[in-house]
Amino acid sequence: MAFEYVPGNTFFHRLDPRVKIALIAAFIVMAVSFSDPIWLGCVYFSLLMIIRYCKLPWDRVKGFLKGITLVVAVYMLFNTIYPPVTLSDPLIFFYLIPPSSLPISLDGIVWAIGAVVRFLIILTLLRVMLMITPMKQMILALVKFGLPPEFGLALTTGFGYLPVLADENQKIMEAQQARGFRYGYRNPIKKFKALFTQLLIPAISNSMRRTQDIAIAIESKGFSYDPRSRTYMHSIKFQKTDYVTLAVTVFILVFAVLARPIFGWANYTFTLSLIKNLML
Amino acid sequence: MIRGYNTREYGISYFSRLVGLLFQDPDSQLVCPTVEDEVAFGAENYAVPPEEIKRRVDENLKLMRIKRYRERNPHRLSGGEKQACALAAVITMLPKIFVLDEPTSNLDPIGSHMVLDLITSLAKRERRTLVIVEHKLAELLPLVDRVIVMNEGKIILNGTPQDFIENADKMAEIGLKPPQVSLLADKLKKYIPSIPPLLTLEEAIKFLPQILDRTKVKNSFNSLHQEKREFKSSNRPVIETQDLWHVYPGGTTALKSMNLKIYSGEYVAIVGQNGSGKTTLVKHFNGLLKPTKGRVYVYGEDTFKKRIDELSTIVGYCFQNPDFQLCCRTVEKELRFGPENVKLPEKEIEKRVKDVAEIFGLKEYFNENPFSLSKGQRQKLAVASILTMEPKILIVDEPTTGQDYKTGKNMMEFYKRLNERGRTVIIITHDMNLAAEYAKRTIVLKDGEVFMDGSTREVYSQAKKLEETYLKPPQITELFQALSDYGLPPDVLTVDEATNYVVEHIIHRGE
Repeated sequence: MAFEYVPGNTFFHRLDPRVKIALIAAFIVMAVSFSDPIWLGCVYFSLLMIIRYCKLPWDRVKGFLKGITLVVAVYMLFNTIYPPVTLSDPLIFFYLIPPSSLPISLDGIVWAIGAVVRFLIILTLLRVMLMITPMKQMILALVKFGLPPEFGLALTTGFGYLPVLADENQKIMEAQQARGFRYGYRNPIKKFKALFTQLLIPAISNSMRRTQDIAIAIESKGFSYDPRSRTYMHSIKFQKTDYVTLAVTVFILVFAVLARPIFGWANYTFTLSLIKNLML
Repeated sequence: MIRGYNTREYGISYFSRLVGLLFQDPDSQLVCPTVEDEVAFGAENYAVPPEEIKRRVDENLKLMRIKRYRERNPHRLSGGEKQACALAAVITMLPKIFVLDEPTSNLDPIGSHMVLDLITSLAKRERRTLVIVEHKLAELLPLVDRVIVMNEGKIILNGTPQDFIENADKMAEIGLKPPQVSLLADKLKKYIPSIPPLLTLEEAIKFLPQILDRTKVKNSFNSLHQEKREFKSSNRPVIETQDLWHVYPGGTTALKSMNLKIYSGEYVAIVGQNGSGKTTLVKHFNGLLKPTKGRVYVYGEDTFKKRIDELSTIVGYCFQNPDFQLCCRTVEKELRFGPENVKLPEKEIEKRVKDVAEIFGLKEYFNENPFSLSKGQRQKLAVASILTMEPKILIVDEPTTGQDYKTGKNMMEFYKRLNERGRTVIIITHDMNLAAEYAKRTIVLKDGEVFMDGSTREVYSQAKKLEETYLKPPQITELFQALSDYGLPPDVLTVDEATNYVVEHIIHRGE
């Protein structure tokens, strides 16, 4: 499952979930603010180091990356052809449609590589953080940040039921196939139409009944007794390391915000000029 | 009124502290991401201090024997363990009264044995009021102090288990299933008026020898019938598996080298625990699954070469839960769904829908939404909508789960008639009594292999071997096997057979 927690007892596992959220914020700000492939590459590398350090199953990370290859390829192509920044005097290799439309340029490629790494950073980051944080803690942190406990419960329950719902949908499809209905079309439009018309009604009516049952179960355990003053078996508390890590994270955050606009670092022109110098 | 509080004046969450509820379907009551969180959830809601919650959670995880699954998603446990987890979650709230609504009806024999065992130890330890709503009476009756029988909204019996079994035949009439030994005692009353009501197997084992004429029994032969399997070997098999293996993508081996032949017109029961491969096996019969090694032939044709929709006209497969099968907006469309998928001519569809609707009494509901029907009717509709395909082989997965005895029995009688008219019927079940009563051949699966295969009598007479799969023969069969020293046949399958046998061998005191 995509969101399953991988138990462990490393430094990152032990961090307070609020610090983890701050860490996520710092990484996202870096990813968004930097545009240079080398700088972004370093950020991604540090993320991979975290994966290694936490002994997360590499297969699952890899499987997930494999799954998004096509999206990444398309994203890369678009960014090469239409970089959202105006390029001054780009080094153009050739045109996809001669004589002068859809240019492939060195500048475009460098920009696009940066964009792809940024994309990967954000996706991998969220996945890694969910793998080292139990869902319950993540929600608890959000509740501490002001999320109503009812929403928190809805989120946890929802995620918990994903495997159940997937199983049920599988059963519905099998039952229909057993009555001669065809899902196995090659044609994606036909396949989509089959899914949409046949799976949707039973799936929805099932999950509605399920929702009612769950609501009764939650009520019968007294959730609505007084949700705002309920206690938590494992409360979260800042430790010394959490304060230190938070300080470092804030520093990174500030640096990431200032690096490009103030110092002009981490701009994609950095790599670009390196390559151009090498070529000359 | 609950403990003096009027239920009209306070909300549910006020009472859930006093009354702990355990529901039938474990999947609908587990709401937290881990077992530990689930068990703590109720206590957290009532603002119990964290230290106290931890203490209770530890204690109850141990009590329910699920401590090693602490960090697991509760939905990934087995059926019995899920229910144990849900039970632990209820106990942690320390309710004064426990109400358990059919806590074992969705579980396999191991699971329900486990849960009943836990409930008993709980009742003994806690000395709190325990209310159980249940159909499975043989295991439960000996445990309780008081029985309340309800029918159509009215209380028709309120007394001790003894009172209940004294009226065993009356209880059976309204669709309940008294323990088989109680039924036997009740039937024997006609011949021996002095017979006491029997509640447990142990009582019956003690009592029965007193009325049997030892000399008579000893002389009779040891086995009731020596009937062979009813198919002739010259018959062509309709389903044949050759060295069938199935390994799931995750690497779990579900089926190991299965070689089975099922012949035309057979009535087969496939039994085994959850995870023994029953459902995986039959999914190969209609092509939903393809072997990862080996071959499956249906009417001589390799399932690799057939699409599911082609096979669906030959093999009808009725799933366990009707809610996953119904998918149309009206009952009529539901019945037409299958035949329309395989593009039968309109005239033929109309004829089949009309015929099947008549048999099942569904005509008056033609324009109703299937999901608004009662559970029993939904189950009927699910079967009916498969029969409009007129399959030559009918597979039914757990035909009676979640139904009361009477409804279940009616469905079984219906399959029996279909079988008598020449259709091959395969049922998958946990219910040994059912398999014993109806199926002529029983196949026992264990860990993905065929563990036993033979006529139902052969299979059940080998109780020792059956025990290895944690399955038990019907109570009445157990009774006769326990008394085999007295020469009783080990392969009696139903109460009627048992009654007849005993009557023939009674000491006729008056003579």
